[in-house]
Amino acid sequence: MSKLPDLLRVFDGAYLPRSRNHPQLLLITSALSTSSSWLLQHFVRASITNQPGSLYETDRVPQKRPVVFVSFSHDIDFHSRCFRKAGIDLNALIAQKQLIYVDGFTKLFVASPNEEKSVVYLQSANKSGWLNQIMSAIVEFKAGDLLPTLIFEGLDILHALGIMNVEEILRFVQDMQEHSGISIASSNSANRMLTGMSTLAEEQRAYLHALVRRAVAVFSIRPLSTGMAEDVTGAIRITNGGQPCDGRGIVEEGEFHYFLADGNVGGVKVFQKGHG
Amino acid sequence: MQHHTPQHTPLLLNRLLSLKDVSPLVLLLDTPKQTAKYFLLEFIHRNKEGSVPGLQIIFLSFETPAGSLDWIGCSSLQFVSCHHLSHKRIHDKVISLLRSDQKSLILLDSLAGVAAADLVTFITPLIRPASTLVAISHLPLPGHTALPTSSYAPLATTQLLYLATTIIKLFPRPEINIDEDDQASDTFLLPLGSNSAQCRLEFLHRRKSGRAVQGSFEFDFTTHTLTFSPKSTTAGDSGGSTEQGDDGLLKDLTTFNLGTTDKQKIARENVELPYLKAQQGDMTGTVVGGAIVYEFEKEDDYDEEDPYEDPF
Repeated sequence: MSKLPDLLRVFDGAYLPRSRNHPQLLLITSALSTSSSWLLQHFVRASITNQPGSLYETDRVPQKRPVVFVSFSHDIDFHSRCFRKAGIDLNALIAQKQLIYVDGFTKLFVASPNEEKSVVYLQSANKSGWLNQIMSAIVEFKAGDLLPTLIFEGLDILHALGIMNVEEILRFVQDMQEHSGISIASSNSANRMLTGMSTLAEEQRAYLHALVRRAVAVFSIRPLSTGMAEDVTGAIRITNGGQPCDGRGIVEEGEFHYFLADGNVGGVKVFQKGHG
Repeated sequence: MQHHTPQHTPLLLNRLLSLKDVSPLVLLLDTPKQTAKYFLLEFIHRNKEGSVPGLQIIFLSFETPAGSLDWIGCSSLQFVSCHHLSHKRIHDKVISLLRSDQKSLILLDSLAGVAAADLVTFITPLIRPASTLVAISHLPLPGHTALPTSSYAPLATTQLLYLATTIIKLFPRPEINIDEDDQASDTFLLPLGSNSAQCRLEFLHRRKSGRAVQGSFEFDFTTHTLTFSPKSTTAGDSGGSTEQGDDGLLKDLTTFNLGTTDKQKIARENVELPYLKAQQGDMTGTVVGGAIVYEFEKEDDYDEEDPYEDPF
């Protein structure tokens, strides 16, 4: 039995517009205590598996889309462990050319002796070449006209570290979007990071608001407002973003609770509020 | 204060959308809770069928990726990705695309990336004869500011409000659902119902005479309909002030009392103006247009034999 329950598929099919090959951005916002890793894993799985009715249909023909996973907050070892618990072998996907892992964490500032040949490493000294680095990796395994799914994790770290300002990050995202079908970005949305007059808070607000306006759908993950619970880890809400996605222009909205069985990694259960 | 019939306002907005009335700069104001992009796209929808002969539609994109508007099906749309272009190159590009003798519609998806100090110099060259520029300016949520600006410069939005000939502010529908969880949340959270294709808008149009017309509407992109909201008012030359607004402005302005008390307001409302009777009609309810109503008073010297004395 899959560790990802069927209800998670609401994120692909019924709750999102059917994708064409035109760029669409999905935004995942989360707080420090509620990681978005499990949802990113789900989207990887949904993209590379062939499921009817999924977000990744093109003209109603479900197709496997390769994934470009760009992470600025974790290395590949962390995700390998998390994906394994979710039943996905990350290294096998890389070997089968179904996934490119772009590591913007390990060698961002210093060259590390441990280097995986199959991983694309980003360095801050070469930030103007990032787009070309990722694009050349995509071209290597691009099959036909089907554009890959692009996943960004922890992009907001770049402006916090002073590597890029908000406008540069947004330009980078838009450039990448134009070479992909569906882009998924995760961002921190804790109020303590957004409020106040500090430059960091102002930039984080500007960044988050800009992404909300560019996204067709926003997945907001947050802790329970009532405190801790044994059988509920947090709540997730799906709302429309500021970018119209098609003629109907409506993402079906919803609010759910979820439970992560083993901390922030491993099996996940998603259910309607009050039905846990 | 001169009043217009409220029914004129929806007609005016529809005419603006179809480019039958010219408004050189239409400013759309939105927030993260309600995007203005559906309304921006309504301009394309209303004009893509060639109702205006030879119309050029140019989309200047700062935050919309190329290819993401394909579903609109507007073959004449000229898409310009601006996020890597300098302001001068954007101006040059627009000028090179425009044909001088044709009407044009220029759409700008966001002014958020333009610094407040550069706004006027960026916008002005895009406002051209026989052209309508529709631009979105993002408003921050209360308590939040968007891109940082200089403390000594006026806010970008304030500058735009002076330049714009039509201002349309978008809101989520009133039934937007904000529950206890939203208020208790420690994270940025959009309420359910945000950024819907159905929304509410407030419209203000400045005519060439200086008079401003304003109104509220319900807008539905899925059916492409605008429904007039009855709470519309017509503003005076001051551009949107109402009677209550005037009182607010006059309060504490001088040591003299320039306001109106409730008693004075009632007395003013009870003054019977002579021309009102002519509009009320006779006993059958028939309105006689242009009738002169004259009542004789004691001091009037009326000579029955003089034909020129008869006012009727």
